[in-house]
Amino acid sequence: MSSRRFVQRANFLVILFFLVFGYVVLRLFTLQVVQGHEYQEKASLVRFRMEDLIPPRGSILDRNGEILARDTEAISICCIPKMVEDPRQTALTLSSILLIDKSEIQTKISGNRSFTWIRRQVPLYLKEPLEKARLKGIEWRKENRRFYPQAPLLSNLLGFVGIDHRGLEGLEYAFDQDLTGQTGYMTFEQGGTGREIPGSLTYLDSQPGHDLILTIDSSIQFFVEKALDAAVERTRARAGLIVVNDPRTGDILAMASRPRYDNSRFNQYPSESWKNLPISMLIEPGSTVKPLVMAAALQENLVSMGDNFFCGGSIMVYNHRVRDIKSHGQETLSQVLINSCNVGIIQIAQRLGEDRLYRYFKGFGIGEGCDTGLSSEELGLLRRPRDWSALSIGAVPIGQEILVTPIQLLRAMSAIANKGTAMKVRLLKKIVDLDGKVVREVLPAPVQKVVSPETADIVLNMMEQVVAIGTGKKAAITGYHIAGKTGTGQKIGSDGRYAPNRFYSSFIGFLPIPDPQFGILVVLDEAQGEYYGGDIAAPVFQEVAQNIINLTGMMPDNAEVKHY
Amino acid sequence: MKLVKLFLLILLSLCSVGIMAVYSSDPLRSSGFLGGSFFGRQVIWCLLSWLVFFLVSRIDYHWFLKLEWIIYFFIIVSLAGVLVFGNGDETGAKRWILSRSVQPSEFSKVAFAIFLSALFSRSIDAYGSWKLMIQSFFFTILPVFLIFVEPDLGTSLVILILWFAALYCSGFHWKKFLAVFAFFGVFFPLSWPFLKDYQKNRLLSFLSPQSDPLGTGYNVLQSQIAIGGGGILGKGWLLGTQSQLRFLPARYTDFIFAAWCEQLGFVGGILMVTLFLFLIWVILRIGREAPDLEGKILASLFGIMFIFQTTINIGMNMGVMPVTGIPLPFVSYGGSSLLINMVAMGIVWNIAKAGGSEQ
Repeated sequence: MSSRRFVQRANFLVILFFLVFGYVVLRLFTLQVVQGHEYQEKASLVRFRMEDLIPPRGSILDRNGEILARDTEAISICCIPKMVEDPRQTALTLSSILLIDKSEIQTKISGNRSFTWIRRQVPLYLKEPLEKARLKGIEWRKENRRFYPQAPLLSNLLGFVGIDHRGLEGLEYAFDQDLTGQTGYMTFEQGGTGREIPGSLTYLDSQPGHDLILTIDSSIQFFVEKALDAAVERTRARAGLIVVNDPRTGDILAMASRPRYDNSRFNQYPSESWKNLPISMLIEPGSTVKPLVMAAALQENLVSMGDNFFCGGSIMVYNHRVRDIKSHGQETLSQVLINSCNVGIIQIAQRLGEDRLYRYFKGFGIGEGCDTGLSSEELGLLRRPRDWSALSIGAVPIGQEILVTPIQLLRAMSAIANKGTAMKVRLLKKIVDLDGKVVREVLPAPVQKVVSPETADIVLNMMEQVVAIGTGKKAAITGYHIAGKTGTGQKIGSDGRYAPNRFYSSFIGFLPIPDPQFGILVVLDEAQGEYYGGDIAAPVFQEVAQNIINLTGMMPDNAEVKHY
Repeated sequence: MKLVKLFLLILLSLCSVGIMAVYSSDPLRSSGFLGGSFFGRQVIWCLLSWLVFFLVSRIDYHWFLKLEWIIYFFIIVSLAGVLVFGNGDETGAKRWILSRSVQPSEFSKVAFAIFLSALFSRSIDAYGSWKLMIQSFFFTILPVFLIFVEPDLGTSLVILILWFAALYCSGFHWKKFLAVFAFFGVFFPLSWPFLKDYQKNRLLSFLSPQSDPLGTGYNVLQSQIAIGGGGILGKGWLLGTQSQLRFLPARYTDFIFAAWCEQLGFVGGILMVTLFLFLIWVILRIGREAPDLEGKILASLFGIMFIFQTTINIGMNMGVMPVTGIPLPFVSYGGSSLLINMVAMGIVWNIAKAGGSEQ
């Protein structure tokens, strides 16, 4: 072989070699520069482990600082079945500690699974016997458990949290973000062996949840619940509710709903019973809205105290006869309300006309949401006049063809008790952090001034007469000035027509007159037997009012006692 | 710069890079220089190798070529000795003798290159003849077989490649050359039943590494993640997560390139590749300028051997070549490999000094 030939071959070899290395460099470039990010991500996926640090959930307190909901430390017991040596003996020991069925445990801890919960969120004191038992494959970890010290008080408003500690219903759900706080993370790198690499631990500390301070007064709530229990039992009503507020601020002081449940054991109750009816039930308010019509007409100077009305037991609206329960005969303006006279109030509404009636109802907040923040809150319904039929003017003033939630009704009527100004519903006073620093404060705020103080005063006086001598006599408490209004609304059946024997019986009242501090609304749904609001709801009001008087030490007005 | 000095400089750089790479990927780094750490042992081997390098470079390379039959005999005896008296490793492969300190297959690569160049340079009249090809084939197939059954597929392939290289350098006709390739193209699939399961798996997982990411494809995927994760500038010295956190298997031996690239990125990778490029280019140039045929063939064989080993190893690190246990010359941890490669370099330097490279 000639030397030249060898040089040729050697040169070819060098070219080949440079090509191969060129490819190597290209490949290296692709891997590291072009796809580098992709692989960096892959690398961290393999490598990092993250564990959540769940902070304690915020507490819920009433206006006086009473705790309604808080977190307690608990332990959750879990099992790694693969590591259990003697399932039978382990199950036996566990069942004696946890007081649960032995065979249930044994099925859970047998088998080849790598993880199973045995009991979650059991009290902390069970840790000691577990530690002593030294069971292989049985472990526990700390978990927060939601505790409702006053349960089942206020369950329907508070709601509950799920096993993962997130709010599922009620306030727990509505303010979940505030209550939960900021979950922290603990990340660490793990080696190929799965162990933590020393020094790789990083912390993002968790932020504890904020506390909710409600406007609720748990003392009032307590006897409200008691009174409602008694009322529902007495009347065998399908459902019932009581709301107590302060008309001056719009604060909700108590809010009870039946059927009830116990939020600390919510899963043992049907989901029907979780409802918070005062915000979620839609009712045709019936006669309880008549004072609003009266206020509107007075404000517009369409009626005066000297006006007389005649009730012949019915009134023709367009071509339809609207009946009254009886013929009230000749009535003064006050007597229209005292008698809860349909004929009289429709005549007044006809003077107002559809537009003004609509405007005032809207001003009082009929069919307007209350912004409680609760997810189940309904908005109600007040149709615009152009959607009204010719009959509507005979229906709306007596609380038909409109839908309200109970707190809407209470807000509207409270405007009359609060010198004509409707206040925003306030359920949450403030949100504070762990150190008590205010994160968010909700101040009482007016929605709007609907009627003048004078007008409101006149109507409130009429409502006082309702209790003193009218349909609401059963709400009266000797020595105290109470204003109120009864309501009996027919329920609409499934066929869209008014059902003959199904009623909402309601009573709404305020005390003490002339400057009410408390507004109380009672609604009973489908009471059996008697159904007039004045007969069955007014006594419940009276019971609650009496308790409030006792609680607050409200002084009777002796001068007025002699009047009776 | 003069070729010989450049050659020394590159060799020194490569050995330094190798020690750095072993240090950075040493799982026993914390046990200290003399406490049994891999980098400590590598440093000692490196010093020893350089001593041997200077010694060998003073010996006229013709002297080695005269020993061709003794060398061949020694290759066969030591490889057979491995099979009889050898020590197994964790994969069940018998590759070591003297209680896992010496790997004869590593030595046999360089020794066989010497044998081949002696054989071919002697048979100058028979160049291009079928006789020489078949004759040399039988001399080749014996060590290939002995290494293959250890089993060490990679090294047996290196031996085979050396034979191809010798045919190529001694000017065999292209057609004969292609015929040999065609023969092996047919023969190689037939060897499938004789492969060990892990070797089959390696080849299969090379064809689709995602098919078994936690099994045989694991090495390759981890290695690619390590290299890719390094990015342009790398994760920093001793900060490579895949390699430091022990995800990357064999990171101080076969996958040391991945560990290096993870830490020092594309820049570091290019640096190492460039060093190899220069080294091999210089070796090939020394071969081209060697004074006689023996020198030309011998240096070229060493050059081709390094081309094959580096591309196979780096390619396997990057997932473009199947996993075969071929270490990265001068860089991968391993005393036998380093020592014998330095012997080869000593011979190359001697060829360079004999040739016109110094002028």
